[in-house]
Amino acid sequence: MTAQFLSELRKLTTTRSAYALLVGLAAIVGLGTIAVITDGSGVNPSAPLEHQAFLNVVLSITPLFALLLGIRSFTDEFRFGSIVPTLLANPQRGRVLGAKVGAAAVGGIALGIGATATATAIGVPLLLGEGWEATWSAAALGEVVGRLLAATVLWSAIGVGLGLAVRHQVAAVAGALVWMVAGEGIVAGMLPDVARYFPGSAGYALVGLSEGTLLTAGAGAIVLAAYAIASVATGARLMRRRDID
Amino acid sequence: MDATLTGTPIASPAIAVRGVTKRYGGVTAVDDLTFEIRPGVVTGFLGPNGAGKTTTLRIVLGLVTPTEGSATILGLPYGSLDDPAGTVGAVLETQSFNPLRNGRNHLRTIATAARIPMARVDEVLEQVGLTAAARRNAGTYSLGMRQRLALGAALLGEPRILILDEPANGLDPQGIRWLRRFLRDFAARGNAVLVSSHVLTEMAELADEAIVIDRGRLVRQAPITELTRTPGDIVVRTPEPDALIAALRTNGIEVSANGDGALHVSGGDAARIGTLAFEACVPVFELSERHTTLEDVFLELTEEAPR
Repeated sequence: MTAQFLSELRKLTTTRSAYALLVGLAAIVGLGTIAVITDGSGVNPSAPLEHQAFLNVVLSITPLFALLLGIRSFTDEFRFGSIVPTLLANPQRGRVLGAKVGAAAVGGIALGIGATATATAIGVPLLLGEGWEATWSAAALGEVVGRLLAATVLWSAIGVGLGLAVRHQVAAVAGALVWMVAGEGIVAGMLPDVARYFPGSAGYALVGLSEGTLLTAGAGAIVLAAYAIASVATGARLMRRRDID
Repeated sequence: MDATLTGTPIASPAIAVRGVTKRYGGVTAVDDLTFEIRPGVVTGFLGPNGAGKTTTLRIVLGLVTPTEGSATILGLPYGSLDDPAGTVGAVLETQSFNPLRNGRNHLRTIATAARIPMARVDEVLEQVGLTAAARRNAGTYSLGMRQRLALGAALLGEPRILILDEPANGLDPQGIRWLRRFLRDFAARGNAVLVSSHVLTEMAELADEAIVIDRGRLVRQAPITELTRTPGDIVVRTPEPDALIAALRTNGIEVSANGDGALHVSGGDAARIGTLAFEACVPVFELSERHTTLEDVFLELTEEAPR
């Protein structure tokens, strides 16, 4: 298991793909931060750092990238045929899946840290320029980042299971994006009571992007974790006897 | 020389396929197939495209689950091997790597998973002649280089059994010669080799044993030399066939007239037939040994039943 986990980490760090996701996320978060702060409406000079609106850009975008990173874990291997040497080196498919969940979690955490660091590095000087009083609580900031990282870990696991179940990269990525960006919102409009338990809403609740209709952060964490477990379990079940050809 | 490639033969059979059937929906890809692979020889796995060779190899490697039957390596299913990479090396297809990862890193991901020391990666790159291209993305490799990368991956764990699916595809003549010598040496050290191919000319020089399958069924398992030994080896043309037939039969040589004006003689050699014809005063217009190619035998074996 350890060897397979290290192999999966090596896979993550030896192609451009993961770095491209990180750079893309940093670019979006950076631009979003600039837009929110220079717009003026997003600046509250007396609020501490952890309550500044630019952080919402990080909290809303980063989970999506963690999901994509997780999806690619298996779809890349099916797409390029590298699943064959992977399973020849380690025919214990459950262990390969477990190692991929672990490596994707590490990748998700790296995305979360990268996005937070980028937004903070750009946001703080801009806020100071807007007359921000430069207050913060280390504990509250830690909680914001901690919840974000927990969300990226769960989203990356959802992605790994989804990619394994769907196998086809374009289908998995397009399906996930359509649901996250539009589908969930449309269904939520029709079924507002049920929508709180949808993965996107649960994820928002977990990272603290609370609107009145959402679950509490704790309940969001439990619901999102349930989706992650269901996704990985479905992938595991499909993988156990699936023919690789 | 690889340290573990000693001359001690591995246990026999190296690979055992027993009653394996694989159905995809209504299509039977492999049909009650049984055979064994011994160490010390190169076994050719022959059949036309679509005969079920690749499916069989994937079943042996645990990638595909058979509908019925079982396949074992040294007595165990692939998934139960303690050290799969150190037991079996397989080359299944050309494209089995992420094109955005360089060749060296591709091998390093496999080595890491199989607990193989990183130094072995550079050794293997040297062995398959990819050292200069090791840090280039594998997507830029030529077909031959891709094959050599796949072979490198198979050799990483210093396995005692090699399984290669159509390995000569994309290799240049030097590459094929190198591969042939490599596999012969490998087998001679007591290891087992199973090589599939639909190109038989290369098999005649490479393999010792042949397993011929068609439409998922075993057609023949025999030494290559035995496959090529068929009756009707010598063709004789003469204006006096009856006199020659009589002379040959008196001397215990089987002969048949096939209606094409020529006599087909088996169980004699050209010199003896010529001498007997001379002694019987029969003129001979043609006396030739028909060299039966592996292709002929193969076509004969696989085209008996209508498709």
